[in-house]
Amino acid sequence: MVRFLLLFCVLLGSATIYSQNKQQIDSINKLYVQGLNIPQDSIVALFKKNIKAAEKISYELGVADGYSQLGLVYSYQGKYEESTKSTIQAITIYEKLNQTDKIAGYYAGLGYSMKYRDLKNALYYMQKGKAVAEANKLEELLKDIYNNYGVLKEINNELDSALYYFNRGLEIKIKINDTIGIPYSWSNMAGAYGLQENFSKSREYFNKSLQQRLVWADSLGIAENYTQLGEVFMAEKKWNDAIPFMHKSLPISLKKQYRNLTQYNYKMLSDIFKKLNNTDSALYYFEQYSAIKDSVHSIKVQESIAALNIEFETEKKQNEILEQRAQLAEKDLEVRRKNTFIFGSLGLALILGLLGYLLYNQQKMKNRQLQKEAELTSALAKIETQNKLQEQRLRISRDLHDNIGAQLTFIISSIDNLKFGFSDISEKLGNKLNSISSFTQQTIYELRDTIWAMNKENITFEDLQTRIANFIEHAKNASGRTDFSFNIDENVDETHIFSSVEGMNIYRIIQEAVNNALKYASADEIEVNISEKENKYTVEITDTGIGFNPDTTELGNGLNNMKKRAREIGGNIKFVSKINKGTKVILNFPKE
Amino acid sequence: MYLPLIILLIVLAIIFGLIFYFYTKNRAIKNVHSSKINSLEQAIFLNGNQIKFRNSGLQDYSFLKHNLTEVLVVQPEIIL
Repeated sequence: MVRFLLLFCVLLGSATIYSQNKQQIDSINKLYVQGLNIPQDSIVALFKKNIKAAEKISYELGVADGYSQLGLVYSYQGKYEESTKSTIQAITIYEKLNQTDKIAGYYAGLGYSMKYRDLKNALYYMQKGKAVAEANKLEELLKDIYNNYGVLKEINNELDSALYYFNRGLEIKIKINDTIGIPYSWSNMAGAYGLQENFSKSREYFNKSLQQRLVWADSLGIAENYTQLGEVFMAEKKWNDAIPFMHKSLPISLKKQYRNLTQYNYKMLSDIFKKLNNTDSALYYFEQYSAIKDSVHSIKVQESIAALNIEFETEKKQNEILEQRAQLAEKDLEVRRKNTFIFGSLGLALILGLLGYLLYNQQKMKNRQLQKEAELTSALAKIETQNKLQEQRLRISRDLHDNIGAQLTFIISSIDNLKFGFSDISEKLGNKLNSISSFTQQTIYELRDTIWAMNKENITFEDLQTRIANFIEHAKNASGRTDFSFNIDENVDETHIFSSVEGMNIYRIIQEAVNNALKYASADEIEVNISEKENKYTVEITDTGIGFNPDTTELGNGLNNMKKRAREIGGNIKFVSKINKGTKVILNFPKE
Repeated sequence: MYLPLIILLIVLAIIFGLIFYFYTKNRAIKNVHSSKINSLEQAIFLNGNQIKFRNSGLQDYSFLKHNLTEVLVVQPEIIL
């Protein structure tokens, strides 16, 4: 709906603009060319511009009217070739538009306008106009075309033919009651008769014309007819009869300021009196004739001067206008230059801004990419190092396990072979061999633990707790008469992660202490407590066994190992014991 | 009237040219970068997988299985 309304508005707007343009073109084309008080060249420019405007909106009738007006202006300028060309162009378009009345009118007009310059072509164009008017029965045009054609014939000295066409024109005028046109036809016919020296007929038609004009009080026509009647008498050399007609014409021409006719009347009267040898009168009228001729000449000169003056003033104004236009054009050019400079600068700034933004964006992207690449490269280097390190540790571990482990196993196997291979060995030696075998076995386990701790990164508190609980469970099973308890304080951070060395050492210390309580103290109760205070862990292994005197008892391998393990994890270990009061092993180590 | 129009057209042409050039250039840079990143991530993934594989093996090691039974046996032979 909105689109439809928009389209309608656009169409309406276009139609209005088109209509306005047409009206403007028509109004310019209807200008009365003779009445325009502007230089002829400007009028030519005006009509040429109007033709272009009409062509722009494809208004062909406007174009044709423009050319016809241009032809008229050229004819006033005496540029007959251009005039004929423009008129022919107008007629060509009228023919295309089938404007028969205009075709006929302009052909006939063209012919009539060139009657004194090119009679042959004048007759040709007049015939063309006549043919079109006759074919289309354009009586309004035909009455004038016949009359004008008669004039051409008269100039061509075809007087009968001229009379024929004058008569045809007259018939139409009578038919349509053209009361103004009829006397002209009669006058033309009278003139033709006069040229044929048929003076009676000539006088008859001049009189008819005169009577008609008297009815309509056509003063100028009346004066002309009086003069013409006088001329007829003059042609008959009836000088005295001619004088009254001239005298009748003269006051009217004077009153109406019909100067040419007045001048002519004076001349005729002077000639008549000259013929009559009345020299005074002849001289008088000749003087009158000369005076009016001078007056006419003077008026013409004045008119020419005025025209030249107007032309000069107009030219001056035109020059001023041109100068102003030039100044305006210069200013316009300057403004355009400035605008161009501003637009150019803006464009350049825009391009540079965009270039900067794009480069900045690209650099930002590159930096981001480089940062990411650096992070990944660093992560890769780290993980590769870790991997290589682990690989190295594994290789060392494998070597330890495969070489030392295998050799230790070989030692155990050899001792077993010794025991079973020699049945007569003493009990003491047997025990010693068993002791070596067990020690070697223990070394294998220690080796395995070390290998494990070397490879394992860390161990959680939870994992350690599970391992200790499992161990105590096994201990319970192994020693039915002992009560075991394992407690962890509430404040202990169970999320803590130990390194594998820490975990292994703590586990081994607990294992050793419990083992000692079982083996040597014959304890009824063994209690393992883990607590945490001031960022320190405390592990207490308490038994109710036989105890020992720490001052007097020499520490064995087991207790020394426990001390060594406590030092490894940055802690300390205390043995609190009294004979028959049990033993308490207290391990303190920092929470790292 | 025509000169500003010509300037506008030239500016637009340059802008489009610049945008097109940077678009293609950036796309090429991104492609190179993503291939680099892919290869790095692939290498990290491979290393990580190796470490995980080893760790899972180490996790399976049991203290109790290999130690405790023997440890809990009373060994009077060993003189402390």
